[in-house]
Amino acid sequence: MSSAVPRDKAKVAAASIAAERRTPTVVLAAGLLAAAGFAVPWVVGSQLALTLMTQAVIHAILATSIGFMIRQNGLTSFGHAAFFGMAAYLMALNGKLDAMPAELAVLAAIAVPAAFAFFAGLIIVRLPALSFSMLTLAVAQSLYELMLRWRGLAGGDDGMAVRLPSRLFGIDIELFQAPSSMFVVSWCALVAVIAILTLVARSHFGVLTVAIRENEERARYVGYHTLVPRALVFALSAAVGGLAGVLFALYNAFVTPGALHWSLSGEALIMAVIGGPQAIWGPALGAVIFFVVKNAMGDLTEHWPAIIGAMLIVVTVLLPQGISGLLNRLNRLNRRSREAGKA
Amino acid sequence: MIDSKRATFLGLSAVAVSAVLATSAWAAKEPLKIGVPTSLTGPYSQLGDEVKRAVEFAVNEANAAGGVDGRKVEVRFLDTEAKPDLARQQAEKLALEGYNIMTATIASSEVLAIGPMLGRWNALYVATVTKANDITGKQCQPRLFRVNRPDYSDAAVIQPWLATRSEAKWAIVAADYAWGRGSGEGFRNAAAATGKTVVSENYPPLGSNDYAAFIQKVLDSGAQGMWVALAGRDAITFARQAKQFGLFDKVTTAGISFTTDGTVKVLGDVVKGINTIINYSATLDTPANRKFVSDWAKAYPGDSPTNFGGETYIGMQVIFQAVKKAGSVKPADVAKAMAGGTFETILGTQLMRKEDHQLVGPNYFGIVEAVNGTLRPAIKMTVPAQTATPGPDANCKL
Amino acid sequence: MIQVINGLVYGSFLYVLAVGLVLIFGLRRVTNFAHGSFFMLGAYVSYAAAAHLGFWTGMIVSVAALAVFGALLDRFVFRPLSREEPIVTLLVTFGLLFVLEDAVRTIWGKDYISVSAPEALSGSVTLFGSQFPTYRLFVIAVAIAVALGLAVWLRSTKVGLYVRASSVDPVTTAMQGVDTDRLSALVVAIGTGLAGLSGTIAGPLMALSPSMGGYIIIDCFIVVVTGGLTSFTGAFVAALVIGQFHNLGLVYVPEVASVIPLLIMAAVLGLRPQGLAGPRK
Repeated sequence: MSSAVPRDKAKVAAASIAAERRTPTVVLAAGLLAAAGFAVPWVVGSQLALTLMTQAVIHAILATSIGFMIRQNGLTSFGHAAFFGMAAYLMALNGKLDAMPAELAVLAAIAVPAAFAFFAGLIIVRLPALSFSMLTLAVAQSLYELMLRWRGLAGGDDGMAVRLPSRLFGIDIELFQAPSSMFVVSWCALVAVIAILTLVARSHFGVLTVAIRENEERARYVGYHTLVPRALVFALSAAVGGLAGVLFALYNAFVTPGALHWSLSGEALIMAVIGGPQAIWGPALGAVIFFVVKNAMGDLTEHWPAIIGAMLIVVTVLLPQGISGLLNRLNRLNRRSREAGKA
Repeated sequence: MIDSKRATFLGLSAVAVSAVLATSAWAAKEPLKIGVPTSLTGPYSQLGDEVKRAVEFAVNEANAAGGVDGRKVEVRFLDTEAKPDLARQQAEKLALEGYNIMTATIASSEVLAIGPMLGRWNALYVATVTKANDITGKQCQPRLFRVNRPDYSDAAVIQPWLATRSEAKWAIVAADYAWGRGSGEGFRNAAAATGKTVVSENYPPLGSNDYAAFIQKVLDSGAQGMWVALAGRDAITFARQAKQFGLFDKVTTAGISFTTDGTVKVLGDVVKGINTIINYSATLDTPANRKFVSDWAKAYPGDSPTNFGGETYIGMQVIFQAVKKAGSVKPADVAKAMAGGTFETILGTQLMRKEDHQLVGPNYFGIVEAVNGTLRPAIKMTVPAQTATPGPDANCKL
Repeated sequence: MIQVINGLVYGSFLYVLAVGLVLIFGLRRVTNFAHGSFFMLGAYVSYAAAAHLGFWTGMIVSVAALAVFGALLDRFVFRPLSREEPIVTLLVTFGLLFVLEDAVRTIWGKDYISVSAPEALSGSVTLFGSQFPTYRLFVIAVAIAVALGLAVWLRSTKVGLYVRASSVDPVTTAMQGVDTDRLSALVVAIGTGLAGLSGTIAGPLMALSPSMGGYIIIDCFIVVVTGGLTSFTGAFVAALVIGQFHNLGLVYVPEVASVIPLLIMAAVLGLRPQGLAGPRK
C-alpha cells in the first residue's frame, strides 16, 4: 500500500495533466447546455410537458448511472433501483425522524449508496458477469422486501410521504416541486453528471478501468490493482443512481417500495441499452426517448406494451450499439466524406 | 298518409331541434371531465377492467340523460400498472389536461401517492375501491374523498358475525402487507371480544406461488375456522391449493376480498359455502339497486355489476350529484359541495362526512351460494351504516 | 415430514422451469428474461387446448407449440444476434416479454383463470397420516422424468455430447465441426418446450394471468445462477435445495422466507463464484 501510493499519485498527476487540456471544453459545453436548460421553461409553456420532461430527466440520470457501469466495468446491474430507492427512502426516513438537516440528508442519500456499492463491489465485481447481475438483483429485491414489510416506520407497501423543510440549500422547497423550476434543477444535475463522468472516463482512472474491462488479467500483470478501481466505478455509478433517487424524492414527496422493484431496474436498463452505453450521454438520450415514446403510446392505447416491446426488438436488432452508436457512426461517415472532399 | 308523413317530419325535426339544443347547451357549459388513472395492464388489470366498465356505464348513462347539470361528461383512462409513482405521474397528466376530477384507482398506495398532490394540481379525487384507513385518516386531504368501506369498517363487521359462530378455535391466513396485517389484527380483536381463540396466524408473502406450507400449518393447528384476507391472484392460487388439500371441507372459512364476484366467477365450486364480508352486491334488494342492475344488464348483456363495479358506480353518483349541487366543474366548488353533503346512491341516502371525507355507508356479510343458478357472494346480514362506518377518524385533521 | 414433501413439490416445479433456462443459456449465452412469459404462454396454450382436448392432450399441444416457437425464436432472433453483446439479446427478450404479455391479455382477456387438475389426479392420498393431493405427487414425478430424460439424452447420445460440449465452450465446439446453429435450434426448442410443460403443470396450482411469469422468473434465475449457469445437475440440486429451504422458511420464519432463495444464492456465490456445479475458470 505504502509503495503503491506515490506510484499511483505520479500516474494520476500525469493523467490529470493530459485531461486538463480537454477539461475546459467539457466544462464549457456543460455550462452552455445547463444554461440552455434555464431557457426551456420559458419556451415550453405547458406544465404538462414540463412535468413529463422533468421525470424523463430524472430517469435519464438513473439510466446514465447504469450505462456508466456497463461502459467502464462491462458489468450490467439488474438492481440499480436499489440505489435509487435507497436514496429516496433515506430522504423520507430522515424527514420522519429528523435525524439531520435535510441538506445533510441529501448528501447522505448520495454517499450511503456509494459507500454501500463500494464495499459490496469489493466482493462482487470479481464474479462472472451474469452472477454479478443476479446479485445486484438479489440485493435490490431484498431491500424491496424489507421496505414492503417495514410498516412501522416506512408504511410498508402504502409507502411514505417525504417531509421536507420549507427551504433546502436556501432555496424555497416549492421550487423543487414545481415542474418549471424542477426541470431546470434536474437538467443541470444531468448535465453535471454527464460532464463529470465524461471527465472521469477520459482520466487515467477511466482509461484504466476500461483496460481492466477488456482484459483484467493483463492489467493485473502490468501491475495495477484491478479490484479497487472497479469497485470505485460501481460506487460512482451508485452515487449517480442515488442522486436520481434524491431528485425523485424531492419532486414527488412520496416514496413506495416500487422505487426498489426490479421492474424499475429493468426499465432503466432498457433505457441505457437503447441509448447505447458506449457513449456517456447515450443512456440519457435513450431514457428520454423511451420515456416519451412510452408516454405517447400509453395515451393512444392500452396495448402500449406490445408496441413498446416490438419497437424494443426492432431497435435492438437494427441498432445493437444503441442510438449513440448510430449517431457516432453517422458522424464518422460524415467526417470521412468531408475529408475525402478536401482531398 | 299525409298525417303519418307529417308526424314523421315533426318527430324528426323535434329530434333534430332537441339534439341541437342539447349540443348547444353542452357547448355553452364547460364539460365535466373525469380522469381515471387505473390498472389497464399489469397484475391488477382485471380489477382495472371492473372499475373501467362501471365508469363507462355511468358516463354513458349520464350523457344519454342529457348530461350532468346540462354538461357533457367526458372521461379519459390512463394506465398506472398499479405502481404508485406511475399513478402519480398519470394523475398529474390527467389533471393538467383538464380531467381534474379523478376516481377509481386500484391500489391504496397509489391513492396515497396522489392525495398530497391534489392541491397543487387543483384537482379532486374520489376513492372507490381502496381500503387503507389512512386515506380518510392520517393522510386525509381537503380534496380527497372516499365512498367505499375502509379497513376499519370491515373490522367492525367481523365481530357481529363471529358472535353468531360456534367454532372456538380459529386460524388466520392474510397477505403479508399493510392491508392483510390490518385485517388479521381486526380479526384477532374480534375473536378476543367474542371469546374465540386464534390458534394459528399466517402471513404469506404477496404473490406467493405455493401456499402448501401455510395450508398444512392450518390443518395441523386444529383450527375449526379460518379467516382469509387474500386478494386477486393470491386468493385464487390459495383457494385452488387449499381445496386440493381438503382444507375447506375441514374448517369453516370466512374472509375479506377473498371471495369477490371476480374470484368466485373464476373459482366456481371451489369456494362454494365460504363466508365473506360483502361491501356491495348486485343481489342487494333495494329499488335503486334493482334499477342499476337491470340497466347494467341492458348495457352489458348477460353481465351484472361486481362489487368493485358497484362501489365505483357509487363514486360516480357522488361526483355527478356534487357537480349538480355546485353548478360547477371546478374542483374547489365540487369539493365544497361534496364535503358534508348527502347523496342518493344505490345503497340509499348517504352522508359524506365533512370531518374526514368518508362516505357513511352500510356493510354486509354473506356467503358464496347459487343465486338464480350462478354462484356468487350473497348477502345474509346487513350491518347498518352507524355501526359499519364508525368514526370520523380522529387522525384526520382537515 | 409432510412439509418436506411440500418443499420437494415447489423445488420440482422450479427445476422443470429453470432447466429450460439452463439449456438456452448454455448454447446461446442468452439471459432469457422472457422465459417467464414462455411459461405463461405455455399455461394459456394448454388451458385453451385442454378445454377441447383434455388435460393430457393440452399438455402435449402446449409443449409442442412452445418448442416450435423456441425453434423459430432461435432461428430468427438469437442466431442473428449471437455475435452481439449478451446485453443486446437480453433486451430483445425484454421486448418479447412485453409483446407476449400483451398478446395473451388481448387473446384470453384480463380475467384470472383457474384450471382444475385432471380427473385421474384430482384426489388425494394418505401420506404420513395426512391427506396429500395426488396432483402434487405428479409434479414431483414430472420433474424426475425430465431430469432422467435429460440425463439419458445428454450422457448417452451423440447430440447430447455435443450439447454438453457446447454448453462448456461453444466456440471450440463449433470449430470442431459441430453445427452449433442447428444444435441451438434444437436445444432452445427443448428449453421453451419445458417452459410449456411447466406452464401446464402450473395450471392446477396457481392462478393464470398474463403477468404470472413475473412471479416466478426471479426464483428461476436464482436457481440457474446458484446451480452454476450451465450445469444441469447444478440446476437440479439448486432447485431442490432452494425449494426446500424456501418452504421450511415459510413454516418456521415466514417473515424472511421470501429472501431465503436470495440469501442461498449470495452464500453459494460467496463461497464458489462459479456456482454449485459451474466449471472452474
